[in-house]
Amino acid sequence: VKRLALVLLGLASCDGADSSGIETQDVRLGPIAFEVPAEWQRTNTEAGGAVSAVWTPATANERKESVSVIRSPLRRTREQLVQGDLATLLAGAQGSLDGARVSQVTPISTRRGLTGARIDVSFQPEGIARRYRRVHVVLVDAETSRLVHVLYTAATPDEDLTALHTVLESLRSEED
Amino acid sequence: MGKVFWLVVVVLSVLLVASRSRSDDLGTTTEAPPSVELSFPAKAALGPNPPRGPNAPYDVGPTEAVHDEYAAASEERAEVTKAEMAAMLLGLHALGATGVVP
Repeated sequence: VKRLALVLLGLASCDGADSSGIETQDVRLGPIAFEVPAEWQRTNTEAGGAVSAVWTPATANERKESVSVIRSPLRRTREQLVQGDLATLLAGAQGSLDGARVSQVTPISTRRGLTGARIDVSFQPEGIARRYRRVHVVLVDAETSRLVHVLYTAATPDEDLTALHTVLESLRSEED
Repeated sequence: MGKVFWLVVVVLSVLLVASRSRSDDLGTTTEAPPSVELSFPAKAALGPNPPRGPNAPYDVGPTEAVHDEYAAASEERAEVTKAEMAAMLLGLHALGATGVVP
């Protein structure tokens, strides 16, 4: 039975599904490649040298979910960021949101070897009556000397954070 | 003796009248100036402990409350600046609105 389960799991992986079993699509943002849920649609933006894309469910989105991926230039040397103030900057930036309640910053590393930090924040966006929750992961892309931000934002978050993990587990640098 | 007494009285009277008329010529007077009554609001009208702070019914000038409020606002501005700086160093813009689905 275990072998059968492993075979089925392997087949599912080959069929464009991630380890959580959901259908995914391959996407790119500059030299960064990753997967997002298959049914989600993309919107691109660019501001201040940062390129970003936001994915949201194409159909019903009762949870008001989104995953934003932002690739921004390093404003400090990689050594400075790695040595500790990435966490401080992350907490400072998210703590500035209206009514922000932020968690401790925790170090994170992806399966493909990217390292960075994660913070969870609850806040009330301007002009919206309800509170939203956000998980913000920032990773240092050593190959391109850039930061990669992955933000999962939702009014009613998915407890498993499936969309966020789909992105994080597949995120890789594919410099041409 | 009685004549001498009355003579002294008359001489002194003449001297006194002469002295008064001389003072008047110089514009001086020995009369007291008219008294001016200065009036101040009675403390009782303000109450024993006039209210202070933002709810005071009159301007009491700079108070500790105003100072604290100003200090708090300055601190808040410093925090915002620090947060903006952090977001900028991370290359983030409009962080509050990013990915928010209304």
